[in-house]
Amino acid sequence: MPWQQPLPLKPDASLMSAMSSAFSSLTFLVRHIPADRLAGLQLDLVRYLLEAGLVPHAARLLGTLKAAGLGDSRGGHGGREEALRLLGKTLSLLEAVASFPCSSASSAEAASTADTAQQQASFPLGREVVEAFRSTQMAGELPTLSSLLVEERPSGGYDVQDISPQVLSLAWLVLRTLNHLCRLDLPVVQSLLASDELQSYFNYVYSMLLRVLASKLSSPSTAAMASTGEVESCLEQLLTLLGYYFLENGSSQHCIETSPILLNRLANLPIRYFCDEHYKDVLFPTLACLCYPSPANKAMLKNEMNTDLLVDYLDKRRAQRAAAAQQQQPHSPPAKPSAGSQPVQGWVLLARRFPLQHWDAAASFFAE
Amino acid sequence: MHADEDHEYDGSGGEDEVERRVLQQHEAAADMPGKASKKRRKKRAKASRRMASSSSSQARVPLEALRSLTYLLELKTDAINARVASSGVTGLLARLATPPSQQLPAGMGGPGGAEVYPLSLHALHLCLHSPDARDAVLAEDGGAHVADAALWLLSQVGQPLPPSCLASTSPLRNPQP
Repeated sequence: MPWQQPLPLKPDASLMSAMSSAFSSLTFLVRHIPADRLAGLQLDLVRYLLEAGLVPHAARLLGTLKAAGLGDSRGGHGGREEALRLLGKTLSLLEAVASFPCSSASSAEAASTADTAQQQASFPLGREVVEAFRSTQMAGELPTLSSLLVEERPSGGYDVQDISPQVLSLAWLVLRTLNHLCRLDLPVVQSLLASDELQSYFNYVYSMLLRVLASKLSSPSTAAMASTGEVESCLEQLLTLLGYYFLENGSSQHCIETSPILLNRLANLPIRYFCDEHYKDVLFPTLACLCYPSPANKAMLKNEMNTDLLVDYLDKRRAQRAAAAQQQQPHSPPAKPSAGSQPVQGWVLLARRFPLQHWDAAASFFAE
Repeated sequence: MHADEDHEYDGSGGEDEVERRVLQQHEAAADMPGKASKKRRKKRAKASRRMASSSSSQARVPLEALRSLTYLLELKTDAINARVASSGVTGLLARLATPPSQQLPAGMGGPGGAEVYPLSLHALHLCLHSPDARDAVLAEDGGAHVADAALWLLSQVGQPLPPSCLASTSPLRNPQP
């Protein structure tokens, strides 16, 4: 595969600078919400990028930067800063392309449908975007992120102790891209992440990131507090991806039985992830995806936390959805929101990550 | 770097002088018998020099304008962004951003001419912070030009380029003396 072969030379600083400008401009154009009369032109632009091979080209560039020693401050003509900047612009563009089909999805129902063909049909260019990333093994983003994390290790150490703000933002982009792709075609992404080529990278990335991010959130240091927003945002993307990876995936769920460290780490996140409704919307869908419908995983979860919290959360979201459906029915009086009720978006967030058709059964399953 | 480039472009008056001398020689030779083929050659030389001079001027003008525009855009003021978005400059920038091997006239591929497209890319990137400018670029089909530029640049990875081919795109980072 040509895209798998990194090129021999690292681009020089001037070439990297020009590429950064071009990628940034394209990112602006792809992410832009245009006037209605221009929507067709934007669609044509994204289609052109896909047909012209942007994703394989970008995958090759990522491979080249990685092979040239991205983290080596002595290597390359442009230096680490310029290379990281170009890497960020490349990943931003790929994220923008991956999010383009999803950006038109307004309905939580459409986003949570189990019918993949119907789901892809509801996203413009969804099939083309998934194919571009599938054929390049996710554009080589996971091996690149894995390399960046390895370079964050202290000299002589095995585990990553801390993560720099630059790598944190790059990780956020990679995770967000993968989450967009999961929404477009979950079975394809699940099989890719579990493939021989990517599984080791994926396991390393999620285990290292989960440990480091949880540690940063628990740290009382001032420096850690200053970056809390970025850390929480990255953790949200990671938890979303983990949920997608384990959703309705028996073989992956079976792995949790033999390695309970993941559930242990999730159950030991800061207390706000179990009390605050906003943070519950981040963590609890992931827990549901990891453990439903596996009795063994549920038993392990019960050892780590009180699953009544999860049952209560599911019940509240079901009630919210019922209220929203009642409001939409013609000739029905609008329901007045009671004091302290959750915003309507709460159930939509859950529906995007945990299919509606499982809600009732999952609530009973975790209550048993 | 910029001083050297300016020096090269300051020589354009010399090209006019060469053209004038060629024209004088051509006029002097016009009535001489047996000089028909030489006359045609000189006519061609004149036309060729005129084209080269014209292309060089074309390259110089956008380069200076681009530098000035980039200075202004790097100030990131709403008034400048709005003016640029409504002026039609963004579509022009997108066309200029296409690499010289594909779109620019031959004379713009020479020294300094190759500066046009990276500088255009940088200026365009600054413009696109404004949503109105994004609409303007899309409306003028500028996105395809930028896409071509990005794909061409990606195809250059791994090939050593001459340093003069791609200069730094920000005049603020390399202020002129």
